[in-house]
Amino acid sequence: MTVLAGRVLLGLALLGAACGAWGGVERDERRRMRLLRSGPLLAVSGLLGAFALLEVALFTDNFGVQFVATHHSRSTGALFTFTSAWAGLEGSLLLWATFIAGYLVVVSRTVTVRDRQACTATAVMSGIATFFVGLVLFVAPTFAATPGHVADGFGANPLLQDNLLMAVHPPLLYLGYVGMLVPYAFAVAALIHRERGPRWVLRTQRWAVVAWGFLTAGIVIGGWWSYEVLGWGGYWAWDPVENASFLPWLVATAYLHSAVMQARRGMLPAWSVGLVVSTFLFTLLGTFLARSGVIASVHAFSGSSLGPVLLVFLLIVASATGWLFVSRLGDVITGPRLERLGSREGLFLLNNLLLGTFAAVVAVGTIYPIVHEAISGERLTVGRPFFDVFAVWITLALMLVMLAGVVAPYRRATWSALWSAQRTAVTMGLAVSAALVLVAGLRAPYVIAVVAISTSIVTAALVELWRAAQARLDERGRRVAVGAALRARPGFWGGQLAHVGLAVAAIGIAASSNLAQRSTVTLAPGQTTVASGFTVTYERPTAVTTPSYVARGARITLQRGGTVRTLGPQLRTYPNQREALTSPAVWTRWQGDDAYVAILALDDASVTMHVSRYPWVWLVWAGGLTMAAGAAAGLVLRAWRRRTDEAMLAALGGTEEPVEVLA
Amino acid sequence: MTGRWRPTLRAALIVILAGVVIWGIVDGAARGPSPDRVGRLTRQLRCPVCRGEAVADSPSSSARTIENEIRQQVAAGWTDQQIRDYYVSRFGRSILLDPPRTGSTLVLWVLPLVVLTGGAIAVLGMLPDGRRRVAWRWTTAGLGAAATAALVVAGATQAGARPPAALPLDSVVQPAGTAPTRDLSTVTNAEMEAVIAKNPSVIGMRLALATRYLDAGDVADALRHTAVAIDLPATDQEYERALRLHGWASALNGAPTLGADYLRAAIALSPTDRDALFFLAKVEFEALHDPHAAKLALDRLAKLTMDDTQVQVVGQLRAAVDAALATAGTSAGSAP
Repeated sequence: MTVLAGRVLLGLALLGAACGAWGGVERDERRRMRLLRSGPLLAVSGLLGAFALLEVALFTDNFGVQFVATHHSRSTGALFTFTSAWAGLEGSLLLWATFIAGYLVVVSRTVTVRDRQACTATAVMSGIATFFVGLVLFVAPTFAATPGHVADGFGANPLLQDNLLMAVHPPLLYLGYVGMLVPYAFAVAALIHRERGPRWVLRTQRWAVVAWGFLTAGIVIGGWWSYEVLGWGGYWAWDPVENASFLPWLVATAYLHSAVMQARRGMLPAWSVGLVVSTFLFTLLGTFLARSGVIASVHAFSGSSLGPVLLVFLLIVASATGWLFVSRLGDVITGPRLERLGSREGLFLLNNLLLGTFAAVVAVGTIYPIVHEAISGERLTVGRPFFDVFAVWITLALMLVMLAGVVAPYRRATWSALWSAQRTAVTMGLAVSAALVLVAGLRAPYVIAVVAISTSIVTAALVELWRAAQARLDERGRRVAVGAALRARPGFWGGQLAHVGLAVAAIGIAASSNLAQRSTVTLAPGQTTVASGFTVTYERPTAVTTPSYVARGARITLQRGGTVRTLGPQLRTYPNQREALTSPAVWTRWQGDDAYVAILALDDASVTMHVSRYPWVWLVWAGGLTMAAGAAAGLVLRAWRRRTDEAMLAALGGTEEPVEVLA
Repeated sequence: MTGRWRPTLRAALIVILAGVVIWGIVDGAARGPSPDRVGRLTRQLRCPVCRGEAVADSPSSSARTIENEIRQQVAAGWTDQQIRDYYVSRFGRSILLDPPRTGSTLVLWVLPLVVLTGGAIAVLGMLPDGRRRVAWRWTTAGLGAAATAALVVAGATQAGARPPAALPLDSVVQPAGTAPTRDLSTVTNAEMEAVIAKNPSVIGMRLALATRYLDAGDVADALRHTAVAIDLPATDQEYERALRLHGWASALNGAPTLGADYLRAAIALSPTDRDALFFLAKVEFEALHDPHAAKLALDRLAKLTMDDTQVQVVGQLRAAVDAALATAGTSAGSAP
């Protein structure tokens, strides 16, 4: 019954999405508008209904639905019952399709008859939505009947059901991935209609920022989850599936910068189109890598027959877009020339070059082993040592470009102008770094360099804000001046907040990886030792049985300075897993070093643990989320400006529409 | 008055601060990579039973075994390259988390440089022409080419420095007669027990006694001594022997997985230890029912010289393993 209802709802959604796609080629204007307006609405209604139905099936323990039987069990609590809707392949795809339809319906509300670009973009998005609805209906059916009677389900992968971070990580990531579809669709529409100029960039920039913010937050939260739950002590393993989310992020970041250049100076239109297209293709590639089981990774909890279908779709989309791009190159390639490298445009280009190289490193390191194995049959691993070498140098170079680019004027920037603008910031950065060298005895080269550059970046943003406010200072006071300064360049200040976040995260990454300490200790109950700068006492073994797992653990007290903390790392055995999983205990110390304890082995006589010290890890999450907040800030400031502009126009009695001006 | 000096003072301040920062970086870099070779190597090797996790990060027992092996190899004076080569020969190239800068994996390292250089030339190509611009372009191309060439050459010399299959450890372990030898054949087990009870840290006699117990089939007593012996201060040779005996005794005592780990550790220390290789093959085949692993050990054994009795015994085990592999092969092949 539920299965049938679900399929009907998805069938309606498929029909709606297909109508939207058809609307793109419909010649009759009235019918076109009807298709483009009501198609997406039907699609989103059907998908929302199907998603709600899946949740109902989960909450009512309806094991007649196969997805419920394989991803839910009676013992699962309410929260993780809700999130288990996306704890498996079929549910994830349903959520994915629902998000596409959500973006689609919002975009389709803005379509007008004469707006050919928006009409075509809506149709392109509908076409993509049709494919994904087709997937959840036919290839990886979310609603399939369970053969035979099932009394209780398996429950989700245990790693996915004990932490709130994991509950929000996939939806955020999907919102990011899917959001990149909007700029892609408008870029394709502009190509189809041979439209020159940055109109598609201007109207989709908000979408790109939204998607980028979600993607950033999703990646950061995924890393945080990995650190808190997986027990190996890190947050980024250069795992192929992590790379698959990082690739679109890198290219989208490059696009956000090239879009500014195109909007302001009309430069490099073809390059912007290329970046937007690659971003979307990378999200499809990421879906393929994550969902096809083509690579063995910790994320490969879902192998299926989906792989070939996704690959074919990816190839079709890639070749169609590629053909379109090449055949329209003559229309989009024109733009003003770059005059000199020493200018804001030049630095934007350097930024794009570095981000592009970074993306190439990640793409090559992720895809080469698959290709190599397919050709030669020999397996290869490309891991942290490879990626780290490039990542460190590219990031340092990027941050230096960032420091200069923020204050560089368009067209021509001289060294002396850059220097006088950033003198205070650089002095500050050097002073903090020198103080750490002299006072704290810091000698890790990368950390010293990163602290100097990051502090400069943060100071530079504050100095810029102070200067901008100072220039607007009048009798209404400083707060009004700051508000006016922020409102004047919403995109710029959002970007500055993101830059500050990156600088903070960079300090966290450099410190936690270069200054980490780890020891392996074996203790009998009652014994005490000193490891990684903590005094470690093993008090006694513990045992806990919960409905979903059996945990054997150790009660440990850690002491550092005057503070004592009791921790309970565990080894958990889940009914649907053979090997016990180590569940680490983390003592986050805001004033500096995290203590991180993970059990390796535990018997009656003793416990063997990794006791690690990771300095300033929380800066990584704080910085990363600040980056995402930068995206939000840009949008909020823009809305604020529109409101004040409208108020001003109303006061002046004007009827003109406020003009969109970009930072 | 102070106003005139301010720029100078500010410049001096910046120069001093920059000097301190650069000094800190240079001083830190001069201290070189961390002396923790075990830590560095375990971060470069993938845990063979995990998916892409480094040995250093994995809590699995096989990662712990490899970490211990590496600790012993470092203590025995192996170079980093020898240790890496050893694991490549054991598990294949996929054990390396950073693919070597030679052969088919050189592409990986070169491609990013090519992209960066190509992109830089393209960016410079957007600038209006001029003599300086052309010079810049050529300089960039030259730098990119030089960096790529340096990478290729470094990779090639890295391969050239690799020693041939024989590892110097043989010469460390093999020379006989370094340890004082005593004729123990006239001493009874009880007398040896008494001596050991008085001198608990005498390892040679303990191991000799354990060997006797093992030969007599008294596994429990052998284990009592080998368990102590593996923690005693010892030469590499004695330690290797203790590991081998303890591994064999543990396997006989009903802990074949643990026993195999110790035997592998012994073999890691002395790759030509015929007894350990034979024991390992036997444990893998008879107790752990893994003919493939047994065959690996036997293949290594086949490359060593053995006397007639050894050849015969090994031959029998080999025949049994081959037979098992053959039946496994046909049954797998005929399965639908």
